[in-house]
Amino acid sequence: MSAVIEIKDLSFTYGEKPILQVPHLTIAKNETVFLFGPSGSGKTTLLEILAGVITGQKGEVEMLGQKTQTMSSHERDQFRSNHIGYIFQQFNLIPYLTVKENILLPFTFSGKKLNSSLYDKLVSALGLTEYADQLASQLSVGQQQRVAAARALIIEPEIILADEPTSALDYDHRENFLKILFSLVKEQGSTLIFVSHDRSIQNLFDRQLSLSDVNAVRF
Amino acid sequence: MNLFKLAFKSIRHRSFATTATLFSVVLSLLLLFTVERVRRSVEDSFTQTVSGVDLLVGARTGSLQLVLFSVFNIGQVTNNVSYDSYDKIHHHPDVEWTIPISLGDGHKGYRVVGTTTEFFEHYQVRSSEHLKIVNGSLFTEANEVVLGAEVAEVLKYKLGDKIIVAHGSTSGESFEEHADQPLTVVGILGATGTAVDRSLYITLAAMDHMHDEHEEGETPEEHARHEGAKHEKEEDHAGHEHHKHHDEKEHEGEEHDHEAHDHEHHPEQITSFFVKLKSKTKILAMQREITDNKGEALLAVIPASVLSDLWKSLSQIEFVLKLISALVMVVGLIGMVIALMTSLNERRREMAILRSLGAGFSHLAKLVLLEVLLILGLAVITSAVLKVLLEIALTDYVAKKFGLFLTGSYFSAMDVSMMVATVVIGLVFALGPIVIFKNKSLKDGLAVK
Repeated sequence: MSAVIEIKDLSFTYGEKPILQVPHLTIAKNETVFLFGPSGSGKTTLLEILAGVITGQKGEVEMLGQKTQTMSSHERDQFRSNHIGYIFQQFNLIPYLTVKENILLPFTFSGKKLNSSLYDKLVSALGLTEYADQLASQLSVGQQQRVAAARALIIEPEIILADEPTSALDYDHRENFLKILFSLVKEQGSTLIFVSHDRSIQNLFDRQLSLSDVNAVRF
Repeated sequence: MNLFKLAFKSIRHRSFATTATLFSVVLSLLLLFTVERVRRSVEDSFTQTVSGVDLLVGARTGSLQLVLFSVFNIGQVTNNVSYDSYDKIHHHPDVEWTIPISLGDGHKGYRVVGTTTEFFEHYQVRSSEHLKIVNGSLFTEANEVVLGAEVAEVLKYKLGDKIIVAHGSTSGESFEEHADQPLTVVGILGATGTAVDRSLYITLAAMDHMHDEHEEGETPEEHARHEGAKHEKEEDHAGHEHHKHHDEKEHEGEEHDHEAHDHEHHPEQITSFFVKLKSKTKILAMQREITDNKGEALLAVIPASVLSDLWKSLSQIEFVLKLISALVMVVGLIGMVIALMTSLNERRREMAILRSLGAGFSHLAKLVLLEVLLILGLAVITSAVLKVLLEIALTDYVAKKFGLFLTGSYFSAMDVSMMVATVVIGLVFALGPIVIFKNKSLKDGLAVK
């Protein structure tokens, strides 16, 4: 299996404070990884480095065989919008756009073609059909999280980075979300890194990774 | 969804900030338009106080002085023109018409002008506007007066009122009044925003009458009878010649009073006169001919060119008005830029979200420029529409209240360049925050602060 994500001697400091030090980490294509660890251990930081949201790290990070840190910020943004579906912990929806507009927003900036059957599938699986024309600012936290998930998945990304995507979901919605997430991963052959505190679902994943096992920095 | 729609939704979302920006830009543009309008109106009413006239002729004096007292009632009349000289030019084959004016009297601070009906027929203000009698009719008798708009308005005169003019005084109370010769108001002119509004018009004959005779307690009707008696008395002292001559003249005047009043009762002298030639090409030749006149020392000037020279010499006024315009514009644009910057800063996170979804610098720049363009475009259109509406609504009021006439096209070249400058400068300044934003990391932008 080829490596989709490869990290070598990665270190990242915030100011003087070391946050991450990962000597080696490889994630294979189509692998699903459950990443857990205590709060503040750098899980989100790792995802952000992978997504190119944070730059300035030392060491090597290869995504799909490309070094994102040497790209220009625009190239990095393009790379992300073409290949990475990032479900932000903060959702990052645009408040004045409707649910549908938020979900379809990535297509405004990337050359990708919308797969409308995928849209229908995502919206109905995530229970958003009736909210499609509502403004994001009028949604509950749980609804917003589902919109954020749909927006990350609609671009059919090769890599899905999900930062606590079920934190605000009730049991039913969580089940539905996981179901569609895994079916998409299977269909599209995507690679998934799923950050969560919820150890009850870890067995759905191919690999369970404790950040403290890979991160040399001790808090 | 395209960027245009996104920009529109984003503006709508920030309706308060958008409205505030819009409001401030519209206000400063309107302020600019106003200053520019006033500047144009002042210049127009100044340089176009008299138009449609080719030459102004008077006794030899400074050309500026001649224009000032003939057109603006400023300064003193030093010398008069003999009626003979006037008559000669009046009948010159190249002359289409003339308007004689005779000054010297005033009424409660306003100038009294002796003239003929030609004045109402030919005198034009602001390129091609003829004088209009809005109320009543022209004078026909020597005891009738037509009032300028401001005179009637301020002194609250109406048709049929009797007024008394004062000798030699155009400013303030006079010592010597022609109380014996009350004049009846027969007509009131429409406002023009020029010196015409501040004048009273009587016939040359009436002007002459008043200065012929300065005896107290005499009415024009008594005049003839009195005159006869006087002459009888004078017979003992003065020669026959004089009597005869005077009598004849008197007789002649009376006769013509019944026919063509304003043409035939010649005064000895008039102050100056306007000349319209049959052909514009003759202006310079005619000017030279009059100035070189062997008999009386006369001066002929082209009023429009003297006025325009004068306006240029008063260029400081224009400069100050333009400076005010420029300052208003700078302040307005600074306000606009501040409003834009503030709103862009607030949108740091939103921009970061768009970036995280793949929006590049060019996308964001386009988005912001589109938004600014929408706001400024709307502001420019709104202010232009408001300007036109306000001008339509306020033209009469402004003319009446301030004597400013809003003539010419709605938009001057300056107005248009100000509108363009507003948009261009707004767009340039809007790029600033985007450039700053470009160099920040996405993490910074996404952070919830």
